[in-house]
Amino acid sequence: MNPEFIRNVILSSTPFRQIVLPITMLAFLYLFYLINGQLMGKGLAIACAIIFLVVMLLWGSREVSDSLMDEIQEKTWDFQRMSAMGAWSMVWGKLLGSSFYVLLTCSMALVVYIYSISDLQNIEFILKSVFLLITIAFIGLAIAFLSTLFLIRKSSIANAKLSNGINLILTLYILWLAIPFVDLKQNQSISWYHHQFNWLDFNLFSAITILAWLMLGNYRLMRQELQYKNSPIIWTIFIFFILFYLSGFLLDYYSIREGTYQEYLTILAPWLFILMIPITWISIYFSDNKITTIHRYLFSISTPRWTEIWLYSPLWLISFVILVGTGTWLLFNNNNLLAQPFLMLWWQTTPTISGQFILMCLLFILRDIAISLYFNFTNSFKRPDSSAFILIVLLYLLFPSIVNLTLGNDWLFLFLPILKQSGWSQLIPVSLQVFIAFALVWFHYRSRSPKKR
Amino acid sequence: MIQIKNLVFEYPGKRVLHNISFTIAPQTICALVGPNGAGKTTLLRCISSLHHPFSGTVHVNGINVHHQPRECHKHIAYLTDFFGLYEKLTIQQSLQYMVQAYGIKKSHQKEAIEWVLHRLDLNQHIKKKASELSRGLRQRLGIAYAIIHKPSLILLDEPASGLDPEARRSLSELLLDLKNDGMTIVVSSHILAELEEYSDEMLIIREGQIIEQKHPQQLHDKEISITIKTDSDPQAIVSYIQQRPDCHLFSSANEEIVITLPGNNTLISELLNDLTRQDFKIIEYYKTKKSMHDIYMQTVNQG
Repeated sequence: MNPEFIRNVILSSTPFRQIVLPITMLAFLYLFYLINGQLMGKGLAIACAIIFLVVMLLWGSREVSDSLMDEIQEKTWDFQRMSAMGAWSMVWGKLLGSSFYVLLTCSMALVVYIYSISDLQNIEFILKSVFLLITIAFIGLAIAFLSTLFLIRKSSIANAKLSNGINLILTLYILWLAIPFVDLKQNQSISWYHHQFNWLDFNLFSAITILAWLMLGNYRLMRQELQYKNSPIIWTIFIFFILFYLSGFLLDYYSIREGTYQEYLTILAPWLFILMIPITWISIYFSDNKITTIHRYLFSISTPRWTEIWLYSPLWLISFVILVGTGTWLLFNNNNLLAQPFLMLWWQTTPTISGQFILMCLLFILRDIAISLYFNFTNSFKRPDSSAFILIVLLYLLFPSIVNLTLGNDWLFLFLPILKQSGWSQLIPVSLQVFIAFALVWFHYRSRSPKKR
Repeated sequence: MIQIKNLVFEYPGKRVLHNISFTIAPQTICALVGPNGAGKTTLLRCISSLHHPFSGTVHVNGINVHHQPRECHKHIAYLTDFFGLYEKLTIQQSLQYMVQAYGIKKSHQKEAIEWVLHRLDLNQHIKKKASELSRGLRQRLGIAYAIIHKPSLILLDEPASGLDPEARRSLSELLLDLKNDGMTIVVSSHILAELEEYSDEMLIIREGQIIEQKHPQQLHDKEISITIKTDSDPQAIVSYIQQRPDCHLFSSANEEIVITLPGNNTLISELLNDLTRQDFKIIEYYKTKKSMHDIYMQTVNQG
């Protein structure tokens, strides 16, 4: 048996969790039964599903996050990192062990859920819907674990308040996304790559896939904690998976059934470019942008040692290369296929993507990368990534709003990539921003890179 | 046991280990000494694969610790200076956890727990929780966590800090016992007098560089200083000493002459016999071995 699982179960086995919580859960379920007119059925089932998700996500994610934070705070993390346990054992041992009593308590709600719809639905549907609820709950737990591991990796200190704050925001967001799934839609279908899938089947498949990616992310981050090097291959595959998954809906939206490869690509390329912008942006924060890491990376390039170059490649670089790839394809295959109703509704302006817009997007992303590097390279910020994030949000939201209200939207190109075309000169301000940002990065890199003796 | 080649480690804006290279032989106790901020803890964390260096290699038992971190952890124990314990678990529970975490086979787990309880004299406390233990017992439990898998290399970072003299004494005995069990131990400490009790090798680190490595032979056969008091003409004795190749005049003032020579009793008696044969009147002599502190200060001052 996994020792980490056993230890976490022992630690969480307090009388409060063993006795008080099951009684409270039973009381709540009985209350819902009374509110439902002492009847079983769909109403009670939905109430049980909601209480299952709420308790699992709010309480479980806290327990899961604490299972990591406590190790750091109590200074036992080094013992675990020096043990013989593998990354996967550590992940599932902590995740399941710390949420064991939460799952036990919440399973009561699931039992009532099953019982309340047993007369209404067939056994296959009931099992699938229960499995979907459990998978969604574990997605929440896996995200809490991932964000805590990520925080440990970024800050190397135990900041329980920050961890709990981030996890609460994430949990509430997941809860908001998950609540629609408690409504049982037996006969609805979803179209993906022109195939009709049962609503429950497709969501179950999607949820399991998301959970698998999250667990893989946890495993990879834990590997890094155990001093293994991770190549960016999984991140690259993840990007292509996201693009593949979302393309299934896009092709359906454009109702292209039997197109050629070229037609598919023409339809998808603008979208892939648009999708790659947030992915690249997120990857800036997922990367380790510390000056030591970048120094090591540049050192491996100067040597050159190809394995290390690949191993130490920042995730934003991989994402940016893919973004540039899709952007270049668009630049040389100019098309107006984006003049579709959906886009017109979205922007309500010129719907075509111009070469100018593509270059602006690339330059703004480059500027954001430089800002993140700059904050990481100076030693003035306690939390460089959070500070960079705040500055970038201000640059995209606050300043454009002020400019829009004072000078009008003709000057928005100073802060945002805009579709409205009015000459290549619009690229000058953002190019200047990129130049200044990278000049600052270079200056700080030079001044803070340790000198050899 | 440990082979380090060209190890470089950087913190943001600061290189803390500069091209460090050294080897440590098996079954020795090596004292890692140096001032605060010299890079002792970083070096230990690099050896234990908890820190990834900028460049260079660390091999323990022939395993590259940064290529196979989990494999090397089977051979290494590391106790940090500010370690924590599983406060809510009893000693029994936490040791049971540790044997499983180190992947010790089920058939050997009981034996491993009994060995470490006996070795660290924790038998009578197994039902106590870590939070109920004294500072000395906590230190012992920390070492027990670290060595329960019988590693061949133990890295200890300031293990004696905060311990009372009795606990320090027992720590020294424990380290010697572990060495006799075949383990190699690297101890970082400021307390040189205490290190002297058990160390047979000394690594002096300053500003991220190993400035001296004193091997067992050098530590045990240290130079001995002899102070001679004489009624004869001191200058004549000084001239005589300066002609001899086997000893070295350290200082002379009034009737007191300090001579240094390799720590060998035969040489001392030969020198004293020769002095009397030369009709020098020796009215008193006493010998002093150089302490580890003297060697450290001498090396640091030379550096």
